[in-house]
Amino acid sequence: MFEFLSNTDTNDALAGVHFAMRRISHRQLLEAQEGSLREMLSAASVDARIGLMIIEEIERIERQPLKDLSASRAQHYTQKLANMAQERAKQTFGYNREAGQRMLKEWRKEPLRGISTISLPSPVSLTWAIGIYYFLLFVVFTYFVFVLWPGMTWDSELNLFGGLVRGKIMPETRMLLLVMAIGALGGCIHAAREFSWYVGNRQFRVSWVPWYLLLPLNSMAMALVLYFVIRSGIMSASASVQHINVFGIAALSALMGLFSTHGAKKVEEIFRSLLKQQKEQ
Amino acid sequence: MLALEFAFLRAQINFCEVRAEVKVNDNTNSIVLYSTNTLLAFRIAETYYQGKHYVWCSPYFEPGDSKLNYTIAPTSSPKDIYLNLHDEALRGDQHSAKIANNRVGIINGANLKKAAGVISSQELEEIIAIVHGAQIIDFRPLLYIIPYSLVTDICRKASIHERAAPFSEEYIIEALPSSCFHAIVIK
Repeated sequence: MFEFLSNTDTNDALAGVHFAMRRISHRQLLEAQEGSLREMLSAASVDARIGLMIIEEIERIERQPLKDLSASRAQHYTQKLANMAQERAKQTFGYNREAGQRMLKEWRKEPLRGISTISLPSPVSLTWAIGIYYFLLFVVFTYFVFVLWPGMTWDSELNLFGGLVRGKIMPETRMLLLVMAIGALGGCIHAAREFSWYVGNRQFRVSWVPWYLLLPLNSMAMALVLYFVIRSGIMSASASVQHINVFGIAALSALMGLFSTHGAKKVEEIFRSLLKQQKEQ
Repeated sequence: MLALEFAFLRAQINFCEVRAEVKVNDNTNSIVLYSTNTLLAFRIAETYYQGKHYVWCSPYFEPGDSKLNYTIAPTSSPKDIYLNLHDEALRGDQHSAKIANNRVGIINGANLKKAAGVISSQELEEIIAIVHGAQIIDFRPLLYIIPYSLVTDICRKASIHERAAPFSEEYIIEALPSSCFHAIVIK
């Protein structure tokens, strides 16, 4: 492969390889280098001419233009050319291993003189704030689940925060609030898991903060929508709340919260097909 | 000047996302030019080329901002090059195309410097050995901030066959003195 390089002057070969490597890593030539302009360009400079010869050989081997080359193949050729160029330079110009190693050791030891180091403003405070936000949401929604859970009877008395908020509540309203709380809890689990994964992998992006903040609320609404769907379709609308399996509804609400993104997509699919059918009819 | 550059860079950095605030559309109005290079290339230039650096630069730190009407390929964007090199160098990516390219580029540059009489054959041998022996971490990126007013006479616009995109605004400075730029490592 690239046998013509062995007959080329080392200086030109190095420059040509360097030219080709840049283009291969871009996986494209310039627009101006395509078609008939390739010929004009190849006459412009030695490095461009040799570089284009290398690229053309790759295109011949791969039987496809450079722009269609896969990333892994491009990487393969880049490495091959780099090794070839280094070996060629080593053979032609010589190789002072000891001096090179000594210099590298010295550089690694000495501090970076004349170079400033800037630390990016740390998003630590923001990650802490979001972490605390989830913790509070977990506490609040878990508390609501405990308080709103019907237990043995659908007691109409509601007693929140140690008697600070008191009042009567309808069983249906209690159910709605319970569904919302469980949905939000599911959303919190989903968002907190994603958040900790991205922070842990140092891939946390500030632009996603609204998503992290709003997901529990979004999940709350989605769980409510699912509840309405279930109540309207699966069971009789006249069935009272006492006849509902609370565990079943709670499980569905939590799942809706956990997978609200997928749930929203599924609902979208259902409605699209439904509306399409109606149009066809 | 340093304080101004620092403030300028600081203004661009919003947590981990770096956004350019450059409000210029052509080089004549540019305040600074940006260039990303490797630490190894920097050290070789400082040690062997009397502090004269070969750099490609761009008047835009983060091309692709929708507010600015210009085209610069991502492969020529100082920000993208910096972030990719930073990632690859820290993770020790043995198959990094950019690092492989930089190895050949340094050898090619050393060969040209030898031809120009800047370095001796012995020094060329040392540079080749350095490039051979260099580890991935030695290719950590540095961001050069170059005040345009200091390099007006020594920078030239990259010709079409050198540029990554036909309309991209790229400049080449073949011998940039250390006194004409500030090198920064962003942690």
